[in-house]
Amino acid sequence: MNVQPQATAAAKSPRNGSRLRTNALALAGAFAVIALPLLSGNGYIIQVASLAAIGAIMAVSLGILYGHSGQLSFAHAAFYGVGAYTAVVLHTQHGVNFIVSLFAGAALSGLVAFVVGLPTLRLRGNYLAIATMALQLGISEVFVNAKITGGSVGILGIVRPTIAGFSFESPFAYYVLLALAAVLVFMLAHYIVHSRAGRGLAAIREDETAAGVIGVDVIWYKVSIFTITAMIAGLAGGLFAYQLEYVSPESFNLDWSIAVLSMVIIGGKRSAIGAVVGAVIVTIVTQLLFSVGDLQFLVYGVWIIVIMLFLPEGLVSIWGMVRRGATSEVGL
Amino acid sequence: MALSMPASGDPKSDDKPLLSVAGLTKLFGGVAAVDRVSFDLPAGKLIGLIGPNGSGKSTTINLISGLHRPTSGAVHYRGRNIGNLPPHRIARLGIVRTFQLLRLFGDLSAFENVLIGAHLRGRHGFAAACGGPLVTGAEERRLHELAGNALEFVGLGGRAQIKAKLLTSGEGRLLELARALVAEPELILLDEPAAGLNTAETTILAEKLLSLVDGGKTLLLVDHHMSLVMNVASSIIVLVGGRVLTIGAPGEVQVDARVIESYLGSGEVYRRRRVKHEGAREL
Repeated sequence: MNVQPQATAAAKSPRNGSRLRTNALALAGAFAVIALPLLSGNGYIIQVASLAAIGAIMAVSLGILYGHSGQLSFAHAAFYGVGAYTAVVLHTQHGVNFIVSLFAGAALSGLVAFVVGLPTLRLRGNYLAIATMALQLGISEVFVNAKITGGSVGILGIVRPTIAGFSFESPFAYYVLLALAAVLVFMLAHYIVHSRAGRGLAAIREDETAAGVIGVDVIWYKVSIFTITAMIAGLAGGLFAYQLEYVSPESFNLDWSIAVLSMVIIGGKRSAIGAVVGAVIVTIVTQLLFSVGDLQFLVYGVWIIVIMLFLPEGLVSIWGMVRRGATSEVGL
Repeated sequence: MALSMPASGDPKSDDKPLLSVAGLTKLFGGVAAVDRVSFDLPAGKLIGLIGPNGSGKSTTINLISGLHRPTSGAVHYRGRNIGNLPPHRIARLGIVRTFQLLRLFGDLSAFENVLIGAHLRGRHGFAAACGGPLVTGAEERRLHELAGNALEFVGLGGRAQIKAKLLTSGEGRLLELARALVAEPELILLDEPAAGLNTAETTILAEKLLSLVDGGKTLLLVDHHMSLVMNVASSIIVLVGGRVLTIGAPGEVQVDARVIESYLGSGEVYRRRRVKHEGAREL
């Protein structure tokens, strides 16, 4: 959050101009980053870029919950899984409209979060972390054992959808859909963080007691943001199922929750851009380390420790340091 | 201005107190921190609440603002019992407070702290937020303006972009005041707002508080040292050991032998402190 008082905005119009330029540059940069994998025309690169886009949606979602609101959840993979299975069962198995199925998955994830969050978030401290850990492990068991999820085998035979007559069957076309969803979620996160409600969440992160006496309904706000971010995770899960064209329980276990958390911490937990940067880096490194198997979790662990020790605000804080350094050189 | 009014006060405001505390009791593990406390806060007045350490001043404020639930007794605000409401509901009714130990949002700027304080002046929730500036723009501009004004009022306009945790303790107190005032409350509970302020800052604070009373606000001012409260309060409640010892005008309370005895331990200490305070003022 970096808000300028509007009353003095007129006096700072040169600064507004430079902000406009920064925004335009950022937009162009984002467009280039999104377009680059398409230009490569390489199926493997598109696959990795698609996973990065999904990871970005997840990381932005967890970033609002953990980084901005101060509520740690280990169940993001569970919500992702609920969204994925719901979308597949509805669309692929029962022929429900793709978009409707996707949002039904998001809604069901939100419902689970709401039911778990309501009793848990009345308490202060790390109860949410503990409760969501239990929820994650429990839901993982359901995914492995339930009939509707196809048990440990999962569900095969998923075909990418056709929306409004346009086929997204090609991974290239589907990647465009994913990138679009990521951009929308990014904007949503930006709007929420910089809104009255978002400031209420920041107040809760900083001091729940002070937030309460200012008039913020602390419990309702915590339950709301937990539900909203779980819905976003559910949406990401549905999108993921059709990217991979196959769902199975190991995509939705605690490892993925922790991987998303590592994206948030590595990129920068207070910044949506940081979450995206973290998602891209973790996705690429995960691919590079694919051959070493579970050893990759050791790499995450070391990364997270190093970042927390030396860059507590994540990799994006380097940008701020560089800029400050530059101004102090040029300026006074 | 309250001080220029006749000593008898305005009978109309005495009829219907804004806040009425009756038999308020709070037990912590069997020990009564607040013990059958009763008093009224007339609208538009600044009332002092004094007492030695551990006399129940902060607990009383915590009970009124909803941070503690009373063991027994009632707090009526505009005729409504608010004793069991959560803090945010009480704030919504028009009661805000500051804290003795500063509770600022340390990682956020002074401006953002006050902007969050303006929470109750806005309406937009999560759904509106998702619509972005097109939906929330007008309200956001209004809240930004209110926050800017409140910062100016306490004299922190030039410190708007400084992180709250980097402010001096005096500035922090003023920021807490601004964060409370921006909500436009009717009743403001101030828990030792002068703690850590120097003499010049305390004088400015006193002026600000009196100007709030002029503007029709009702204030309950907790003060450990009597310096500030004696100058600005129209009436003073003295708590000792969780109970109301006496309620009276500053002049009466100041010379009350029981107050001097209980509150300060001995008259000797009181005289010494007074001399010290006056000496400091001359410097």
